[in-house]
Amino acid sequence: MQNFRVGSISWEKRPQGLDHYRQLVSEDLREIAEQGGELVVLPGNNGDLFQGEMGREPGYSRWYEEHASLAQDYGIIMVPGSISSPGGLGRETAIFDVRGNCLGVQKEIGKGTDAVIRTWSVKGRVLGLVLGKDLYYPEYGRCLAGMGVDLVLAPLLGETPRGGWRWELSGLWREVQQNQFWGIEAAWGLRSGAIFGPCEATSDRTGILARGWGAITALLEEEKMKEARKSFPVLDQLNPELVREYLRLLKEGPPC
Amino acid sequence: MLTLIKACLQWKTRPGVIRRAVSRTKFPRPPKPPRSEELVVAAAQMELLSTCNIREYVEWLFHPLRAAQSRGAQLFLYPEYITLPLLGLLPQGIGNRGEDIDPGEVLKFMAPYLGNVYQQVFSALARRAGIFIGGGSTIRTRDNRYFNSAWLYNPRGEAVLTQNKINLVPRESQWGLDRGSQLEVIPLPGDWRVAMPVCMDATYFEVFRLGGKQDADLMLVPIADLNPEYSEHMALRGIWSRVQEEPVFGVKSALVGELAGFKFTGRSGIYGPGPITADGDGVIAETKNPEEGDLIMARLSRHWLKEIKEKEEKLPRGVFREQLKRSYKKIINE
Repeated sequence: MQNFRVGSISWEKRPQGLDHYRQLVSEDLREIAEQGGELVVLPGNNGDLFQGEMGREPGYSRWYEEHASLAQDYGIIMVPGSISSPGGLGRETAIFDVRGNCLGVQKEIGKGTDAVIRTWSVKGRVLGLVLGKDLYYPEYGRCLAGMGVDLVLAPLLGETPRGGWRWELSGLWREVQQNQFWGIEAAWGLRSGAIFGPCEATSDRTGILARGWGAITALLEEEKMKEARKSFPVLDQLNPELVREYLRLLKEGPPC
Repeated sequence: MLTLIKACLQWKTRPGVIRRAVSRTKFPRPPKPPRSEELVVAAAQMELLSTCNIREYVEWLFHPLRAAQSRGAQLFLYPEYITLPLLGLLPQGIGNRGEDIDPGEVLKFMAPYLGNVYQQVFSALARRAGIFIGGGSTIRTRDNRYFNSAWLYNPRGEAVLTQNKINLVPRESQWGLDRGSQLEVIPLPGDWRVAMPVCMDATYFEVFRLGGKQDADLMLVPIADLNPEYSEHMALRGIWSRVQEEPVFGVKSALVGELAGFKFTGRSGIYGPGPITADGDGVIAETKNPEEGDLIMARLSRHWLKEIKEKEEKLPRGVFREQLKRSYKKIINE
């Protein structure tokens, strides 16, 4: 598997309308493409701008159309943020290939829909998407790990920032550490965008490859992932008897 | 030679020696037992020493315990591998020669003596201090098997919880230690429910989910991280992460310092879900220096957890179960 340069786009504030959004996205996508980025995640909730200005159904269709065009124009694999699903049952996100084809859709699981967790093989990698509160259920990350996912993409929902630097690690970073895949998150108004890997795969052992507002990129190096999994084999050390005990308890009742 | 060493260890750890060492410890009147909502917890950060006598070992344990008990602690936690200083009981510093010997073989050889001292000392300290003591963990042997085990003692000195480490670090697997499979949760006065997973166990959300499903409010986690350079981020992968996922309090006690060429670092801490902590960062109390001995305490209220649990969004039953079953099959190669 070859190394892979990936990007994330996040903004400190919500764009002032759809035109402002289009301008910001174009600028940041150009920057990521110039840096050799092959995949990008846009901030969650960006569908609200489309649905707010155009209405629920027309905004939904337009969100898909415009982001498919952007993926094609910039020749980049794109997770286009997230949008409210028709019928008001939670949110959904999607993944576009470099020709703007929609490879599939991931809906929120925790909203009680009949959605299932999906994965996609892209450029020899297995990708998974996670949305909203689903990120805070560690079961979701474990499912993805068992599905062989290499990279998890998370367009985050905006919420009030709290708890400083540690709180910023309480979502995708935590899942990356306990399952040892790569992770990308993007948001506005919540926290800056970030690209994560296992602590052992980053030179400063923080598990953070890149972090910042606007466009950021990082190179995912497969050799470093292999070394990280070898030096701290988290999943290899998971006790099968614990798993059986846990599955037994799951049968008995909520949550999960 | 081995017979001689065994006889020597037997002599150095005989009950009379332990009784005399513990009888020198003096505590003020114990605090009242936990009330229904509140519990005062304390965690030591123990800086290693190497000692060739039990009296010095007990004094090392006694000082932070007395400091916490005299300030009202009702439950006190020591770190993982709390009996390591007793490797100094081996003749001519066998336990201090680093690379020359296999640490696993030394620990297994010492297991009966370490387990014996551990049980007598912590039981007696709990009785004398009149509070609950999580003795941290020690290697012990049972039916020709070796475990990394932790015990919790009540104020009468009775062992009320025994926990074998469920998930080993690779080094422990190489040593041939056996694993536990159950997480025990026991009631304390005042309706508190407590469990004591050991170190690496806090890397796995499944352990804390098992605690949550048994209505645990408090997870005691003794640790000993063999990590010469402390990393704040790597440390966050354990108990802090877990209490963000499962609404319980977490208490961590760390072993620090150097012994036989091995260096341990870590910060003891008391943690909770972010929204119930003052700064929103999930930290209630934490030591400052990951390389020196220290002590932290906090008064916890179950009322805080109750609020979080009431607000918690429960997933519809079975949402992840089928996919999890398939995923675990892959992960554990079944």
